[in-house]
Formats: sequence, C-alpha cells, structure tokens
Amino acid sequence: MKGPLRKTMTWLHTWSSILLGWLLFAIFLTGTLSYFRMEINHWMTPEAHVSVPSEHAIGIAAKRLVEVAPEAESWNITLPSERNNTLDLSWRNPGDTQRRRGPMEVLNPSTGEQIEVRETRGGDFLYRFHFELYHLPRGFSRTLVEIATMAMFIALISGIIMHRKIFSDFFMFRTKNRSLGWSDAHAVTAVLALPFHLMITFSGLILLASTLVFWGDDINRSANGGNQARGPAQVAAEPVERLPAPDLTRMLATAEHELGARVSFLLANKPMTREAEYIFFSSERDSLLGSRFGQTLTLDNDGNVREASGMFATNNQEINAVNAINGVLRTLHEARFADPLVRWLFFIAGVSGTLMVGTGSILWATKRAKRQTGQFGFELVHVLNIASISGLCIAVASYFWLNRLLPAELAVRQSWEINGFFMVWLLTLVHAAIYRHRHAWQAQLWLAGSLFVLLPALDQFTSPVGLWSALINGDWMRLSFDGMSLLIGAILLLCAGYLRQKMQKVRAQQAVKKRSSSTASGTQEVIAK
Amino acid sequence: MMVLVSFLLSFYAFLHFAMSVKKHHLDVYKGWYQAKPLSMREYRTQQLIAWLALLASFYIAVAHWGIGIGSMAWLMLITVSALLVVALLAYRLNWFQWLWRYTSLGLRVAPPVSKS
Amino acid sequence: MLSSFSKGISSPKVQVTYRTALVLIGGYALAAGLSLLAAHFSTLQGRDLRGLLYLVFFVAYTVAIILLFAINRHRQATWATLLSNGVTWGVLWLIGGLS
Repeated sequence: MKGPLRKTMTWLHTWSSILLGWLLFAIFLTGTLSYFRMEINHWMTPEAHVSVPSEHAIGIAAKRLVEVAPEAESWNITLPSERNNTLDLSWRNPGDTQRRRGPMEVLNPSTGEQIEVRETRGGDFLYRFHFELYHLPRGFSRTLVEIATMAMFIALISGIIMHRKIFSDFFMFRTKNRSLGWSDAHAVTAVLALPFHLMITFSGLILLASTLVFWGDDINRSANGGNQARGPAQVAAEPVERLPAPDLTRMLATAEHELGARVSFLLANKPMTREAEYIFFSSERDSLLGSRFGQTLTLDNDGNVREASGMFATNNQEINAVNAINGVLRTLHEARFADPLVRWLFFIAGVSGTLMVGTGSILWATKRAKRQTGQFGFELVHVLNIASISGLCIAVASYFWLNRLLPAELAVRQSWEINGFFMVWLLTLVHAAIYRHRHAWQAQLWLAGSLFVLLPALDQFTSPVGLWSALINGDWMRLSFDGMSLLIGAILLLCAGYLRQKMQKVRAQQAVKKRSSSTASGTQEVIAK
Repeated sequence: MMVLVSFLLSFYAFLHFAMSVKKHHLDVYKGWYQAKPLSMREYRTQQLIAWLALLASFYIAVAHWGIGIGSMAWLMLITVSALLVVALLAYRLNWFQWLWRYTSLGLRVAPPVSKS
Repeated sequence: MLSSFSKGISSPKVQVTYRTALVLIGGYALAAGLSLLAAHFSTLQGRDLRGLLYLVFFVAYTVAIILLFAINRHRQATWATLLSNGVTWGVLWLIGGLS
C-alpha cells in the first residue's frame, strides 16, 4: 500500500496466500490425487484386482440383468474400459424413487462371477474433500474453498507482477552452492507450471462461482429448468407388455460402429418393452468442447437407431463464446479428456502446484524465524505448517494403509477409514505442537515419505493378485497408483533429506562459531571455507 | 512416439534457452572451455534455435492431440522438460555439460569466443 | 508519508484493516455492478448469461483488488472505490438494469 508497486504486490502476495495457505495445500494435494480418482478406487478395492476385462462383458451383463431384473424400470451398465476393469451393473425396480440408489453388482467381465468388494469411499473421499472438505455444511465449505481459490488467484497475479521479469529470465535462479533453497523451489514450481496454475485456479473459481455470485439465480432457473425435469417421471406400475431380451451384443457393435468410438456406459430405460431406449455413451473425447458425456446413440428394442447426440447433433445447440469458455474451463479443470500420458502430465503439474503452495508457506515461516521465534502468531503458523503439510501427507498415506489393513468385513468400514484419516491428522498436529523446535518437520517428512514409498510393497502383499501378474495382465490402473505413490514418496524423502543436510550445516557452523570464540586464531580460515 | 519427439524437442529448446543466460553460460563452460562471457551472437543463435525447437514441438503436439487438448498438453509437456533442465543445471551440471557438448546445435553454430 | 485523511487513525493496524475491508467490499460491489452491466448489454440467455456473469465478475474482482491495493494513499483509494462504484451503479440505475 505504501511505496512502489513491487512492494505492495509483495505484501499482497504474502498475506493473501498465507492466511489460507494450509487450506490451499489440502485443496491442491487432494485435487492432484483426484486426477487418479479411478485408479485410487481400483487400488482400494483389491478384490476387483482379479477381474480381467473381456469382450464378452456386454453379453454377461445382458444375461445377468435379464435374470435378476427383468421387470426393472431402468438398467445401468458400466462396461470395462481403460480406467475401469470391472463390469458394474445397477438397476432401478418399479416404484423406486429417482434419488435412491438401486441395487448394484460388480462382476468379473471374463467369468461373470460376482465380486464382493470391500466397503470403501476410495478416491471419492479425496475428491469430495477437494472442494467440500468433510463434515461441514456443504454451502459453508464450498464458500470457504471458493474464497481460498480467490486468494490463490490474487496471490498468483500479484506474484507475477512482483517479479515482472519472470518470463525474460526464465532460468535465472539463485542456485547458491548448487543446492536449491526453499525460495528457489517456490519460484521454480511456480514459474514452470504457471499456465497450469492460472488455468486450474481460474477454472476452479468458475466451477464454484455460484457460492460468491448469488445474483442472477432467477435467470438460471428459467432456462435450466428443463434439465432437471428431464428424467422419466414416476410411472404408475401398470402391467406392460414384455418383449424378448434384446441382443445387446449386436447393439453394442452397431453403436460402436456408428459412434466410431468405444462405448463405456449403457443406460436402458424401460428395457424389454415397446418404449425401450438403449442409450450408449461413448467414452472417448477428442475435443475440449461438448457436454458432460461424450457422444450418445439411442437404440430401440430391435436395435434400430432412434437418435444420436454429441457429434451428430451439434447443429441444434448453438455454441457461443461464453458457453465455450465455460465448458472448456470445466473440462480442463477435471482433465476429462485426458489419455494416460496427459493425465500424468497434469498430475505432475498438480504436484508442482502443491509444492509451490507448501514451499510458500514454509518460506513465510523461515523468513520470520529469526525475528519472531517465540511470538504466538509465528509459533502458530509454524505448527500449522508442519501439521498441514507433512501431517496431511501422512494422513493421506495412512488412509491408503488403513484401506488395506482394516479387515474387509468390518462393520461401518468406510467410516473407519475416514476416521483414521482424521485421527492421524490430529496426531500429527499434536506431534508438531510438541516437537516444533526439534525434529517435527524432519520426522514427519521421513514418516510420510516412507509410508508412500512402501505402498507398492503393501499392495504386493495384501492384494490377491501380485504386482508381477498385474504387470503381465496389463493392469495399468493399479501400476499407475503405485507409480504415483512412489513419486510422491520420493519427493517427500528428498525434502526430508534436504532438511537434514541443512540442519547438519547449521550445526557445523554453530560448532565452528563455538570453537572460534574460544580460539580466536584460525577463524578466518574456517569461515573462508 | 510423436509425444516423445515433441518432448525431446522442447527439452532441446530449453537446453538452448538456458545457455542464452549469462550465468549458466559461465557455469557450463567453466572448467572445460576457456570462454569469454556470453556474446551477442551466441545469445541470438541460442534463442533462435530454442524458439524454433519450441515451435516445432508445439506443432507436433497439436498434430497429435488436436488444437484444444494439444495446446494444453503441450504446456504441461514443456513444464516437465523445463523442470528437467533446471534440475540438471542445479544438481547434475556435468550431465548438462555432456549433453551440451555432444548434442547441441548451438555450440556448433555459434561457439563461445575463446579467451586467448 | 501519511495522508491527511488518516492522521486521526494513523496506527498501522487500523490502516491495514481499513484498506483491506475497503478493497474487499468495494471491489466486490464494483465487480457485481460490472457483471450486471455486462449481463444487461448482452443478448445471451439462461445458463450462458450466468456463465458471462461469472467470467466478468471474477476478472473484474481480481483486477479491482490488485488495482485498489496498488494505490498508495488511503484517501485516493477511498475516492477511487466510491467513484467507480458510483459510476457503475449509477449507469446501471439510469438504464434500468436494476429491476
């Protein structure tokens, strides 16, 4: 506020980011992990590891559904795909309400055997935590996340302004003594993935915009109403004529041929009746524009095409710039279009964002350590830094560990996983508060790193299928998860190692000082070294 | 495959970008080449090669993924390759020297001016 | 250094609080007004219009926060906030966009 623009922006950058920095770190970490939500889900249900995708899945699904739910109001079939290796069936019986989830089954698409998966929230817990936290009123937590996002965006913009030459000297990092300090790590992770940070933050703002922008609700209702009333209305259960079972295998072939892409999901409304609709959803997206799902193709009970949407139906919906921008931002934020490689790239960018937030918070504390140690505010930030950065990493790792170690039949199992997550987090907070001036940082980083690095080993011993067979069967989802945890673990261990090195250096300097004060001679020499 | 080519090109670009910075220029040549500080000619050549390589990698990424996804994926791609170059410079300077010595075009086109 | 306006309340803490509140609330009102203005002049409908509201609001709010913090003197900042809000909401009122 006073002084040159640069100073003002530095002030703004510091304070807008530190106040919600811990929340931002949690948002970034869980969000980054959510790029692998499906992989995490798969990893956390080891029972499904035996499942191998096969071409006959659709036939098995049809046979099973005709057997158990011939009268159903609708069928949902999720076919095995690149990011899902089981065959998931669910259906809604006549008279059930829309809202309640109907019965569901998970099958092995090769054998048709039913798989009893353990009860877990899987990656969905982290995904929800990313924007709704946990156990807080939804409106409140979303608003909080939105405010944090706004603070992040301001911090980004002011950060760019305060280093105006950020783009011209892309590589000018103060690499003192060949080892990067926290501030260099902060700058590197910030600058190199800057496009990603700007994109992810702004699109995040837009995604939760309705929590801050509450005018114009009336506008929304009038035009969006059609969307909500689209589902089939409650039908009185009257006897309908049942037709013979449809040949879903042939229909799938038709759909894949017409769509020119693999089909991953099939919704059947009023199956085996005259009004039956079989809607095939394609899984592949090759454009950032478009609706939530890719293209769809609807067939009737005899396998004739009723209607198509997506690629074939672009003309009935005019695409304007605003719509396009919003759609693109949403798609980008969730990386819905991503093939495995792009997903990994996004993940790495996300990791660097997480590191940026983390190192930023650490930087705040280290800059003030000399002057303010002992003051309440500083101590608080210091403790919260430890607990929210390394502590959260430990908590996430133990969430995965608990998933495998808690007995699969435990009652209310999934809430124990989540309780465990929060209990561990609390423990790290206590630990951080007690040992804040000793080795809290190092100890927690070592622990978090080891927990992550050992996850693949845990996977090997607690899954019915070993990692080697997973490699042979091409279970890439599981291997991606293990690779991801190795990467995260390695980064954490590196940070811990860096801290140890630094501490040793400080100790050596202190020893030198002590010696030099006692024996004044030779001081020059030692310091020069 | 296309992705790998695009990635390598962007890595190559950042290799040259880094060498158009005075400090790194100094660091890299220290010890094996009696070089004067970065000359204007070197700077321009390095920048030109870097931009061309970057452009090529962008083109390949877009050709592979399409313009929308391609541009975004390319941004992530160059993030990774730039990160790699920074890591090399900071921790494995001799690897960087080796790469520069044997693979770079910039060294051939505009060698550093010798001190003597 | 101190502006005459804030001589009475010259404690730095009060000043920072005052400026922060001014920027956050003033910027919010300003961005809201601008987004409504944009909505008034656009021909978009329904969900698209809402998308426009979001885009304009967040861009405007960000720019407003940065600019209002960048002004050195508190008095100038206060005037800038009041004036820009006055103009925006005034125009909105004049063209009947408030209904």
